[in-house]
Amino acid sequence: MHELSLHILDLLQNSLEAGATEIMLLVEDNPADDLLTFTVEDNGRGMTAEMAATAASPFCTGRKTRRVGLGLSLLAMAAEACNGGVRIDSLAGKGTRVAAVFRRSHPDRQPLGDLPAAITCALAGEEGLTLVYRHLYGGRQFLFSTSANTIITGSFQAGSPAQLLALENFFREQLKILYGGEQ
Amino acid sequence: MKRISSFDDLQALRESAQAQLATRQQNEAQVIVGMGTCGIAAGAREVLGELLKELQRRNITNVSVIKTGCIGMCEREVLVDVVRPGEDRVTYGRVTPRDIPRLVGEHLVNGRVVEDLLVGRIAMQV
Repeated sequence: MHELSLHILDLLQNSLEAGATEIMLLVEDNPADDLLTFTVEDNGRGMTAEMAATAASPFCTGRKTRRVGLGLSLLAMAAEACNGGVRIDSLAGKGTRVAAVFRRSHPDRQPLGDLPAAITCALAGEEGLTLVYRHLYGGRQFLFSTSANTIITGSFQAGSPAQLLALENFFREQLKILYGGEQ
Repeated sequence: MKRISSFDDLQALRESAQAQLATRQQNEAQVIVGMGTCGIAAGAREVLGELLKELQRRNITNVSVIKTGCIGMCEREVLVDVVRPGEDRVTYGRVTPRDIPRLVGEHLVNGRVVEDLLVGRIAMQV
């Protein structure tokens, strides 16, 4: 994983595999406090306390095909390398929230990368998923929800390539505006 | 649509909707992209993005793009499965965005398996 957006995509896929129908993604890019944080919260099946406590270990997985699970451990490693960390809160039957914090100016901090493509990828084919995406930067915010979006008239169809690509472009433009042309 | 006023109406609606869904599933080809941690690290996001673009370029609408998790063949990621209606499920490995036009043009549209990327086939379930 060479971009934070790929870690975010991995978290979104975790939520989907946990059967989530509602996912909230929050990205807080805060140069003033020198922090970069992202949080993925879902209403999936959640984990027991024991599972949540060891979820970031590579030798913990809910899968039966293999005994290792690398997604969360790679994220924890990337965050800890930047004086940050990962926090996992989960309630069995209710959902899971994963938050990752990074020291923004740390030389080892990976770039955010292509977040529009990552989010579009997570949405592809997921009919019936409600995704809320909120991105904060320098006191401004971009807010998007698949249940109430402005660029696509009618309901969002997660199976339509044209709609997904239009959405990706929309995210790209909006992030450019949010960052005022920088980044 | 007619207003639902009785249980029978509801059941009739359910049956017709199920029939419609079944026809759609039978007639619709599928492309399945491996989107586990291994797939993502190997470039599955870029492969899926290129797939969407290729489908849009060719104006193909009767294909569902689906994602799946890790199937345990991480070293062959990015794994892409192509399923044409009524045909075997064909798995391709080490797929890059550059291979997508061939997978779509050769296999999805014309039904010819792209042999040099082939990993395996699963016989159609009857």
